[in-house]
Amino acid sequence: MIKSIRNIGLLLAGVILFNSCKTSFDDVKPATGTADFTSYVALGNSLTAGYSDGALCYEGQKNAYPSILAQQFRTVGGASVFETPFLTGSNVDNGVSPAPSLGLFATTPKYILKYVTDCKGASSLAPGLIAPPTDPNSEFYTPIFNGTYYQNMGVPGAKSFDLLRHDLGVLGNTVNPFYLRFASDINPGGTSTVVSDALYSNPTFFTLWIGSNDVLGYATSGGSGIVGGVNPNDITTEALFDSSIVNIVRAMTANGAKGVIGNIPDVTNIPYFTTVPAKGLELTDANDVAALNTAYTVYNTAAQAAGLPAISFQLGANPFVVQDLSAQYAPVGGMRQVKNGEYIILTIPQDSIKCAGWGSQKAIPVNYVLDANEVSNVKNYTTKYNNYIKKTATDFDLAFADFNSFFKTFQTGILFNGVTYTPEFVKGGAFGLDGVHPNQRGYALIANYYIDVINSKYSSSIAKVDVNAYKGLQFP
Amino acid sequence: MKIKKTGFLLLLSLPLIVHAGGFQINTQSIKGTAMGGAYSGVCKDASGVFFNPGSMAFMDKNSIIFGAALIMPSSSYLNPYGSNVDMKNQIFYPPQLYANYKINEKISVGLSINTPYGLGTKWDDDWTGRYVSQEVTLKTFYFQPTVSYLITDKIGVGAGFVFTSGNADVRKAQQAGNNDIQAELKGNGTGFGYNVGVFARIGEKARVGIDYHSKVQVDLNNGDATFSNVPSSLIAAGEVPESTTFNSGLALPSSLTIGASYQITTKLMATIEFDYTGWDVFDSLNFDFPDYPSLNSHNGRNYKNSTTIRAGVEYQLKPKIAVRIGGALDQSPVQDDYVSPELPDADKQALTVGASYKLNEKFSFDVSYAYENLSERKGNYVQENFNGLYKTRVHIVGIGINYSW
Repeated sequence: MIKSIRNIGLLLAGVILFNSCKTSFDDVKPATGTADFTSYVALGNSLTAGYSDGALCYEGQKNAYPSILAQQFRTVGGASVFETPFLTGSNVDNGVSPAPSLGLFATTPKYILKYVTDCKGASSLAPGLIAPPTDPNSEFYTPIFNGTYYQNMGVPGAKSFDLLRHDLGVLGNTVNPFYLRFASDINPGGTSTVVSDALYSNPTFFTLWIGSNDVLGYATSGGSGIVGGVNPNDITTEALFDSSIVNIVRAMTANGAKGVIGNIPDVTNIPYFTTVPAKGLELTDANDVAALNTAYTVYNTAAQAAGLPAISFQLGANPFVVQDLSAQYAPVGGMRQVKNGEYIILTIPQDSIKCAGWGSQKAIPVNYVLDANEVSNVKNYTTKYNNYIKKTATDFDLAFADFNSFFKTFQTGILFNGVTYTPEFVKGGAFGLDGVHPNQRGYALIANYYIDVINSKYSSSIAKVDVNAYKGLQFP
Repeated sequence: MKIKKTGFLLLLSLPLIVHAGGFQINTQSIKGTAMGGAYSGVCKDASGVFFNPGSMAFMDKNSIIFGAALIMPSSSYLNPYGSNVDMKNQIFYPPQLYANYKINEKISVGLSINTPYGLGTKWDDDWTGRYVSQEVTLKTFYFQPTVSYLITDKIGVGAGFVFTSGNADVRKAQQAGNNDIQAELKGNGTGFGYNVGVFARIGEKARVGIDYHSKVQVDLNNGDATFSNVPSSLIAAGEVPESTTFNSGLALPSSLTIGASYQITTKLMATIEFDYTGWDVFDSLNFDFPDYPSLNSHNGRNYKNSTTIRAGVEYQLKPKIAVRIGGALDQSPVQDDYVSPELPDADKQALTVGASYKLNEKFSFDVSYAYENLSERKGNYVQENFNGLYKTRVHIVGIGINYSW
């Protein structure tokens, strides 16, 4: 009997030991598929550089989507080194954005969320600069190229044709100080371009995401540029856009490299345009309504004579009164109420609405308004550019990243491991405080989308990343 | 930690367990556990109070059983990024106490105190699924005073009133920019139900029983919700409080059990049991915050009713020693779109062994060991878009002491 009990005891001891046997899974080995990820180069604009919160800063660069992709490519034979032209000097954490309006070599740092007191004395959370602007910021304008070529060739502000320009970053004529920083040849008459510098890395794989700035500058400035120009606030002509794209891709694929081309999002979906509602004039006092309606009596008489709609107000939400400098509205002093489908941009001074009568007693200046005609220009050119990007992807048999559709899915929210990301300003969790660029989590979602597209085209099984592990907005 | 407690207090303070067809715990008899969990067609000891109150009147003696099962689950999760995460190992020891007392030849009374439902899962606080679940502890205690009546010498009926005390502790993180707000919800409540059964002997060798445990709704009202690491701006804006109250509720399912046993030889007995558990009552798990409706969280569960087959044999090795072996196939009530780290359930296969030793006419001891394998399961918790592959093994060691007079 004692023996039996001892045997049972031994059995139990064995059982408890057996419990230490783990259920753990073996890590999954990704498959490389049909592409060669040995040497990866990223070309693009601020989105590729990791720009966010109104500036380029070190941490944004470090977690830019090309860095994430390079890190994931390492599991399928990618190079251990992926060079990013990191900011140097003392401003790397606060970030930099050129601010020529404050001085030729001035820069502003990034936005953070902080308490600001408005004209009525109320304190609330709003984006504000983390530190005063720096003028001049010689550190930022100091070229850093020392013979090592960079693989993150994202140049904030770059348009399609900029990637092929010899004069984009040369001393004495700073077309684009971001490229000036790391261009391989900065002498006047220098021969380096973003594309030629990228080719020095002998890329076997590249991503190209360019074109947003070909419409964005026009859009974010409230349509202040022209359609068919080459200045920052202009819309690029279709012909120049198309030839730029095909020339970039031809150069990048000349040695057989594979890659991805991304199209451009509908910029009117980003918080920069969707945060301030066009119908955002809230009137809660019947006396105010009556006073405003009285004030526009003269306007409305003139409007009726000219066959234009009247301006009227009621309790509740009303469309803002905005400037309209078209000939049509000349007879009524160049103003009207904003129409459906028009946008007020994020940078409008809120105090001017709250205390200076903007949008009610006075028209909101035209550079804060993207009117119907401008919206139509932006949308039309976005469609034209995207058609060409898609065609180029097909012609060169490259993977195609449909960011236009991807950003639309933001509208209903992208759910990731228990967190919903939307394009809502501040609360949405995916965009930075400039309302244009994603934050690091938004960039991680973009990296994951790239990986989906790459896996699908090249039969690879590269793993995605945990979006929630990246930084988001810092609430005070 | 106070260890020295009386047995009864110990009963109330012990943690509970995970993984058993949803969060049902199937170790309510140590003898039964050794036969794949099939005991409702046997009911030869005081655990019959719980398994089938109709069986109690057949008992020859008054008896008390005290037992516990040490449940040692081990779970792992393979995330979509290709790497493994192990669930934190925890050991649970749900207790059980059964007693029956013969008032006369026809009428018996009894008491059952046990924990038929419970759940305990815990992951690292900073793991990738922290916004879905960090830790869940659910405990239920069923107190069941019972009466049984022998209609004829072949048929007994019985009924018990079930008083249930339940408590839940749920921890998860909420994202507020770079801050992970740590949310913890603690609540307790009570519920009522019943347990009725008919038990019959057919000839000298066969026993059959049918039993029904009713659903029990446990309402968790005025629970304590605490939120830590909240950015001060969100507290100031009244968006997230540091503490508030919440209301929730938990539906514990009904179960219908049909069991039979047959004495093949004087030494060999075989038993089989079918369980049908009415899990569809657990359609959602909702947390409502009366003072902060924006925090309300409604989580679909959509459990489906599940079926379990259990079978086992008992062999009287020596006059004082009986040995048992058995197995079970247990269907998970959790549907594909609801498999989550809170309970990474899957269909389960169990193999069990055990033995009893009779010390004298009054004392006997039971031991059991069960090995449960939960099929590897690809889960996508759609509501939170949380994907991965789950694998679970469970070892269970049961010990029981019987005293009869």
